[in-house]
Amino acid sequence: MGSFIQEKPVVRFCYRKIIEVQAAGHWEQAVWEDTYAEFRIQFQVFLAGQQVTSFSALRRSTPAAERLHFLVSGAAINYVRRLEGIIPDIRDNAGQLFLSFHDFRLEIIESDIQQQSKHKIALLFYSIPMRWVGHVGEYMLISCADNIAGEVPAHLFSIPPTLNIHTIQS
Amino acid sequence: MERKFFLKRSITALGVAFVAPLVNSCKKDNEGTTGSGSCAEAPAETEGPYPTKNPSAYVRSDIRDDRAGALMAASITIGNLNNNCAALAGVIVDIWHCDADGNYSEYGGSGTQSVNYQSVHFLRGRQVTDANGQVAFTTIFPGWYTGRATHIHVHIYTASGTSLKVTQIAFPDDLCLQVNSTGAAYGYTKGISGYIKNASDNIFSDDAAGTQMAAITGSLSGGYQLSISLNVKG
Repeated sequence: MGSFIQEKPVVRFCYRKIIEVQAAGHWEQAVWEDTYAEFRIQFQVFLAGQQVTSFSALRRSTPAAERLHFLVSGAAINYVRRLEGIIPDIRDNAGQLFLSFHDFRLEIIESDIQQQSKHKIALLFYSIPMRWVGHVGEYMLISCADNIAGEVPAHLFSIPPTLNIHTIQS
Repeated sequence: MERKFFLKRSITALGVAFVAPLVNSCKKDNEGTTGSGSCAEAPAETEGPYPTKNPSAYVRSDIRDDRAGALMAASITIGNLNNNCAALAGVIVDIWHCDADGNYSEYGGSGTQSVNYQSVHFLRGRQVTDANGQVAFTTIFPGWYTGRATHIHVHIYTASGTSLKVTQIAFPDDLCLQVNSTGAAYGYTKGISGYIKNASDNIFSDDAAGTQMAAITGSLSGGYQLSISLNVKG
């Protein structure tokens, strides 16, 4: 089993969780509201007298505004910490959350300091490396096992639309 | 830790529901339902798995995280230009600066690099001024990077988040040269080759009055104390 496992590619998943005005759930609503408040604060650092109000307009005139992705993440990070290193929403076939992550990123898709309803962000969660063992029917079979003989833990799951394989290593 | 907190709250809520008859029989006068007659206090309930709001990661006084460097206590006093520079209480002060190597907490150069969520916002902090117009931060003596003299960024805004001033704090040249030439044991290994003094810095060179210059005492081993007054139109 050990050598069989080691022959399989290692992948890292990236889950892009989009949060916008219709955010369902208390956690998502809190993230949406607090990242918008932080956006309005940090937006002013880059304005320098400009009259623009939207993120898309500011980034066109001020390339440094790309830093807002990172700066706004400060409002989300304490919510991300509450996930305790487990990627949300992505469940295995038994209904369990199972993908661990260390790395994360916030992306501002669009926002406007005068229209909160336009605030739309994505939280990107990058999984730890997982062993891609194979497929069972339409399900992907993966394991976090690396160099373990005998039985190893595995998860069977189907890939939802916003989950991508971020990197693959033979 | 947080999960334990929620479990504890959930268990407490369930416990109250299940044992209420027993509890009611032996509760103290100041416990349980309050009010008089049919006027009962609404029960406290959890809102779900994530019931509370979390403050921004910037809201903290110790902003060091995992960064090495000489300890520095920074005291910033905000005055109101519209009131003879009297202390301005209740305004928000953000600061951020680079680490001993000259790096900021940021995503990578492309803007698409991910970061470990545990220590992502090092050397960034936010405090609200007290009745004396002061905020205090625990941090490290900043390093430097090519093209700039040592500095701390400051953004001051009203309690509602309207920007009052974006500015920077300057450091005495001699002290920066000393820290970066003798502070290797504290993490300042960059040296001073190429260091730009304030007079040549494109931000501070026009500050002839020294209004952006901090007063700094202390030492590498004992830590530094920075103080400065910044006035805004509050």
